Amino acid sequence: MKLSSKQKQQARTAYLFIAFPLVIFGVFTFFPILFAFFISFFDWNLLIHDKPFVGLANYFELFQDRVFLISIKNTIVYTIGVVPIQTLLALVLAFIMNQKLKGRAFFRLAFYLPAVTSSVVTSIIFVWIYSKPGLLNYLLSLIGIEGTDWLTNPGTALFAIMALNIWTTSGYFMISFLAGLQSIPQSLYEAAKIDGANAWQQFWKITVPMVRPVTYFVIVLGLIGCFQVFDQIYVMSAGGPVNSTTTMSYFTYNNSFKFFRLGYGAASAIILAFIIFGATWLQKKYLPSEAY
Amino acid sequence: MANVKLKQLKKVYGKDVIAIKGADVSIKDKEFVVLVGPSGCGKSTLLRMIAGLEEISEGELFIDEEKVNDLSPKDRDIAMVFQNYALYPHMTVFDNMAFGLKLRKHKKEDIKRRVEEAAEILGLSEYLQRKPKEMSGGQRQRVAIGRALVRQPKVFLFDEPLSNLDAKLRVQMRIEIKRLHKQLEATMIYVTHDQIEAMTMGDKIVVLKDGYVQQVDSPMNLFNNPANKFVAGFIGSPAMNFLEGRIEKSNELEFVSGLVRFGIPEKLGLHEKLKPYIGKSLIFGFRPEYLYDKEKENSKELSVDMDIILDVTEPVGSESFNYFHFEGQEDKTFCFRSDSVYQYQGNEKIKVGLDINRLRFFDKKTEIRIA
Repeated sequence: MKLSSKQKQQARTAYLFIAFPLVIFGVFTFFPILFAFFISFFDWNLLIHDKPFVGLANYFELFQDRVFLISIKNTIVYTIGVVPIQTLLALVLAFIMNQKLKGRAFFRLAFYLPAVTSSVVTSIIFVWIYSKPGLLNYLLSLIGIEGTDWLTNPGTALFAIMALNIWTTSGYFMISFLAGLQSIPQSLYEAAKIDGANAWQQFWKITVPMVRPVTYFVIVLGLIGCFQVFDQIYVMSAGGPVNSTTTMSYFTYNNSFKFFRLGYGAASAIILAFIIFGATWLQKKYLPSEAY
Repeated sequence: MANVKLKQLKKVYGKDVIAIKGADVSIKDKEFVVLVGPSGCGKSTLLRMIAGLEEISEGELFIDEEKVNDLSPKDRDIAMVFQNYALYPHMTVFDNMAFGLKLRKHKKEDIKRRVEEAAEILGLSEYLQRKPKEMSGGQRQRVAIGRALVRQPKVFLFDEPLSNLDAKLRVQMRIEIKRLHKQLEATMIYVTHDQIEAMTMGDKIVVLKDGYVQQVDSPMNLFNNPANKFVAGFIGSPAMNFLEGRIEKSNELEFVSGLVRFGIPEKLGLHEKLKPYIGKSLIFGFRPEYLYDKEKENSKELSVDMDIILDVTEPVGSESFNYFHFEGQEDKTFCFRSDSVYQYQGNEKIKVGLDINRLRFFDKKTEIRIA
């Protein structure tokens, strides 16, 4: 198709408009992704000048690396634990916050606050709460339970971080659900009441199906967020004790920026990307986002 | 099926917003009752109070001698059809209709039989597996009615069910609902703002304004014997004309307003009621259909000649609505209905007479009908 000079002029103007974001995107997003993929086939060490091509060697090595396998396991446990609970909690919170309650604005703010607080700050607060003489153990002592040092105990560290993450993200997702809930016409609930539905049946038969598009969105974002969990791990446990909280992102970080094995780290990041891609695809297939 | 009785029903929002100011209505078994009034008059609130969706602030509500004030909607044995249909968008037509029965733990075969019967009556049999969004407005409204039907409730409630449909479909559904009422012999309470819908459908009409019940009567009685100026103006289309004037006494009583002047014959029996108004202002009401062109109508008993000047003529097919003013009263427009074979033109001056058996008078202050 041949463009007239006026069309050409218009196209040039249009490209000018998107040029700036395009450059930013290209330099900081597209290029790093392609470059990471590229260096995953090299033994790319920041401190060594020689960066030989090694083919799939990094990938083979990863699957024999015990720590990497643990990090996959930890990431999956983390995701399976966090996503369903945070989604359900967000929905329930939104449902409650959608009722005409006294102090509703205060509670909405209170639940949303963790989402706008820096994750480093919330992590440090929770390091204190989870410590041996911390708040959690104090509360437990009130009911006669002697708590452990939650973050240095390999049996509890991952779960402690999971709990923190559920707390911080469910308020954030609550807002999404709240928007979804508010778009459900009140008359549906009235019709259900007349049809004989009690509060639980209204929630289960009307609310849950009606917010399905939001649920889809929340689960996708939740999944991606969980697979990529890094900051809380970095601040609270540094992957320890004995790798019990090493997740895939943290493994990538360690190898790339602590051990300077960028090629190896990039390979693990590529695998993580494939896992996220696969999980999202599965979800799209088995839990469609269909809106009504 | 059931009687419904409203005794001094009141609805107060917050501290001092009174939506319903004491409604007394008695609805007989199998009756089709229409609640009608302009928007904000409280008709939907009243219906929702009967449904149990709005709390009753004061007064008593009985369904079949049982006081139901404190019963939840599901225990009142009522079904409701909403203005926006309120169909469950994630369920098929079958499931929409079956939902109430499932919740009430009916047997599967029973549910299937009832839904299929209702679908048959409403012509929905081939759509049972569709979702609401795959259906037209009219079909959705049928599903909403079907959902009420399968429950076989004591009372059917309709909240402006036809206002989302186009004019043609509205007329069609109006007839269908009426037919359904005959077929089911059910008690139905129907809310509308459309007085034509009210007139054509109701056995009994409750006219509301500002939370007050203005009149409860049969459609024809409302039309012929409105209790006050509001009902007179609300029922009938085009609306009744109102002309302010006073009563004077010469040989007989006369109504006078500017150059308009006509005698009120003694034999009509209005004199007793009008005498207290001699020399005082009152409002005279006459319907557009009871004004006749003197040159064309001679079978009716008409008043003396009056000169009117036509402003605009609206032909609507079989008839025309002619808007006019009386000589000397250019700022007030009235309507007069004529057969469309008489092709009047704007600015035409014609002589008309009022059907003297159809004269209505209202108190200026209270707006209550005097005669």
